[in-house]
Amino acid sequence: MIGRFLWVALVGCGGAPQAVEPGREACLDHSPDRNLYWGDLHVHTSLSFDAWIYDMRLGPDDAYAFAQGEAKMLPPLDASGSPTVQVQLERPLDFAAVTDHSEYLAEVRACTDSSSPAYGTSLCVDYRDGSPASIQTWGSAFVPVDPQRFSAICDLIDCASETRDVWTEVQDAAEQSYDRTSACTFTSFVAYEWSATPNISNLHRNVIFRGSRVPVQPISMFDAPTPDALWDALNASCTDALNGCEVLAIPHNPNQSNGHLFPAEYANKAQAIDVAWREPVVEIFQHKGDSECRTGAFGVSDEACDFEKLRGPEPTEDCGDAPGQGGMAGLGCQHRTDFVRGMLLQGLEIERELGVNPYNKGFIGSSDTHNGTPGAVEEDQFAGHLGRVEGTPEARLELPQLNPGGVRNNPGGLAGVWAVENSRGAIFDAIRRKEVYGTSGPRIAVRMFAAEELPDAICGRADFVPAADTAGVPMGGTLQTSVAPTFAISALMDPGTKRHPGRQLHRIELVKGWVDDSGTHMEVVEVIGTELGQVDEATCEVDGDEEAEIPESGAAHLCAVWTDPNWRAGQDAVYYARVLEQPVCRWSWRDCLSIPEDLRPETCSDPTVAHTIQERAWTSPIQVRER
Amino acid sequence: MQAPSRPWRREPMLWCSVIGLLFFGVDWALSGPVQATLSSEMSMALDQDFERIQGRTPTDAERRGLQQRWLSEEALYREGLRLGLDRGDPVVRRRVVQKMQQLQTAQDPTWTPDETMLLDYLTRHQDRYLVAGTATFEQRYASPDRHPDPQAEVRRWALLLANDHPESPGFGDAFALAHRGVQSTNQIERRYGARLALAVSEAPLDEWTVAESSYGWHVLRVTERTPQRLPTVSAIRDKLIEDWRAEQGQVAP
Repeated sequence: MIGRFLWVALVGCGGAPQAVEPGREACLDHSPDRNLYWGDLHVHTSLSFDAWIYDMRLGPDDAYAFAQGEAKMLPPLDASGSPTVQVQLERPLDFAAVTDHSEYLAEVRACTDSSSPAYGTSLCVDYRDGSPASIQTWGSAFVPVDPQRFSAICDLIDCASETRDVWTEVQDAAEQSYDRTSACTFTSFVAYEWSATPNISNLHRNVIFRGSRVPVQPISMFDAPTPDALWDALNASCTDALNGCEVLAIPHNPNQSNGHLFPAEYANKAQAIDVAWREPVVEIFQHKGDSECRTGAFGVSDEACDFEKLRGPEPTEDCGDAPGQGGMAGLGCQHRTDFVRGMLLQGLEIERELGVNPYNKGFIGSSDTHNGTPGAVEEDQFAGHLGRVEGTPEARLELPQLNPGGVRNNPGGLAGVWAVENSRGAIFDAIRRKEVYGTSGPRIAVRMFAAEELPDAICGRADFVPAADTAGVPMGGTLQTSVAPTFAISALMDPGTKRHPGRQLHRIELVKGWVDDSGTHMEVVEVIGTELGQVDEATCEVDGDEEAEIPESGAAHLCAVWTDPNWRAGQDAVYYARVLEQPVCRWSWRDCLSIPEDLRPETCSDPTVAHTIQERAWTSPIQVRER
Repeated sequence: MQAPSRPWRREPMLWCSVIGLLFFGVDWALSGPVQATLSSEMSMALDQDFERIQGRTPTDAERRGLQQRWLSEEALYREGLRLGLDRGDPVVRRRVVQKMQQLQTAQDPTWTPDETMLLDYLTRHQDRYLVAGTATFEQRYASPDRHPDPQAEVRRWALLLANDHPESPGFGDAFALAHRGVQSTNQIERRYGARLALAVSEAPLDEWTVAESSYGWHVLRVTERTPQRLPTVSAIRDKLIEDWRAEQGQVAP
């Protein structure tokens, strides 16, 4: 416990232990100033029950190959049962984690392997049929607070042993794709998604292991139905039991949790320290929407929060202090902590009471693709994330039903990681110290530092990073200060590719949250900005396009230094930067344009479905405390 | 002198009989209808299995527990086999089939390449395994947001840097990506774009050169380059075996 506390304190002060990873060559590409690596830490393959059922057949090895640039085929299937849509990343990822649901690994195998004794059960026959009723049956088993496996399958096969076999395949795929040579071209992680969904509230966590030393089987919500039970099991099977086994978990983007993901009450300080240690970052964005903030709810007037809201623009009931239920079905109240701003403020309040902030968390983005396609997050190349359910423009444009998918989903985001090299140890350590950030898809490079004092005109210095490192702390850190904190933020646009150029930057904002005797507060400050760019909605051409006759706007590079004029001694505050791109056509409007006007589905004329969006990056926060 | 008679409690014959009966009794109690024995190999395997899962060797008490559990299960297993419980069980059938398939793959000499075969495969497919070269360089970036003509600005910097002008250490704007250090050539292209990657690969060593990246204009100086190379077989053995087997599978009749 004390060791963990010291770790948290050390990491919070910006100092990070160097990665030492046995069993691999040292990386040639290595920088003490940290390089930027791009990855996806939320990826489902055909091992997940809600991927195979939609005709998706790519496995973990395919997913890792796709992440490294190989072309793969997706549904819909043709008459002979072959997938018909080719997808390929123009720019490979640097790292990825396949995170299949740990629930049903055995059951899916049993239902899809014709030599299995359970293959002929009606449960399996219906599953292979892929009917909505079948997905409801399989999904419903998640809902009780004491979930049980299907006895119709697990009485016929040894589900525990079958799970271990599939888990071995998951580990093998990760091992095969991990580049242990000095080239360090690609890093994979052994991982899975623990998917507890009591009363249809999303409590999912992606469990990520640092190395190849992992427990003999993944923990599912059948084995451990609550977060505490998950961690007891992870401690018993990994941290406390297995030399060299290290693990962290990333809470799913919280917008469907009805207030259950980040509770307000902690029994004691030790429990809060544990939570801060176990789950250093949270997923701020993925294909099931944005979880930063919600305009018009929880006291938020920030218009930029009106971005990729899974539940649409209609106001939802505020849970107040009583968490609700039904979130994963688009039902129930929403809680302030369903968005990370509320989580940050809740953390500050708990810290005032307990002296420890369990929600001192960083941010990452990921895709949550159920197509085995990590990093397929480009707005202008979206081929869906859910097999046949999102396999065509018409299918993607449907209004969301109880089943996932539909026009309010999006292509998901990416995790940007500032790590000394591209190895498991270095990436894992960067996540631990929260020097990571999320984007809604674009590869915007952004650095943020905070210090009591920064060198003069640091935006005009080539040694920006070492100078800022010396003066203060990077994103994810905690600044102890006796004066008003100063922030330096430098951002570069996503250059894109020749075929699909990136979009220029529009503005950088700093979001500040703080708590004082009068309660919690939040403000948004624009620290540097440019004119808003334009999009021709008839063609999706933007200013700066070679063909478009629209004057160019925006910037390839923005840098700003800002000192908080309102910081007061004794004020516990948290700050993160939001970097917005100039607008582009949303994926759904591009799909609409691909369909003849008279055949377009209703959602193409629904005013609540945006035609254009401003994609963005969110840095991990820096916490500021009085020294 | 007649030896004094022993008390009956110290009679060796009695104790031998008692010990013998005890041994017999324990053996009788432990053995079921079918008796199992623990070989030294199995004992070692149990230890290794424990170590694989727990990351340490078992204590004596744990080892006794493992062995006792194995013996009990083994006795039940053998009795089950004797009664024919394995016959007609689809789970057993499936596991045996899986094991046979694995065994066939492992034992078949045509599926186990030796060192020479792997080296030959690596050489034949070297494009697939080449490790990119590296360049050590530093760069200064002129932000279009801060300079009206960034290209002219970096040209001016290049001249002054070449002459160690006193102001030159301060040239360059805050650039989020690394401004110095060793980088692999494929990462340079990913990070800065093809044009700057080309410039880094061609620039004369130790001289300041002007180059354009995806973000605008830079002045850069390369101090060292290492060429691309083939990795050793040992560094990528598992991957090579897997790829070699895939090729064998494709050419097999």
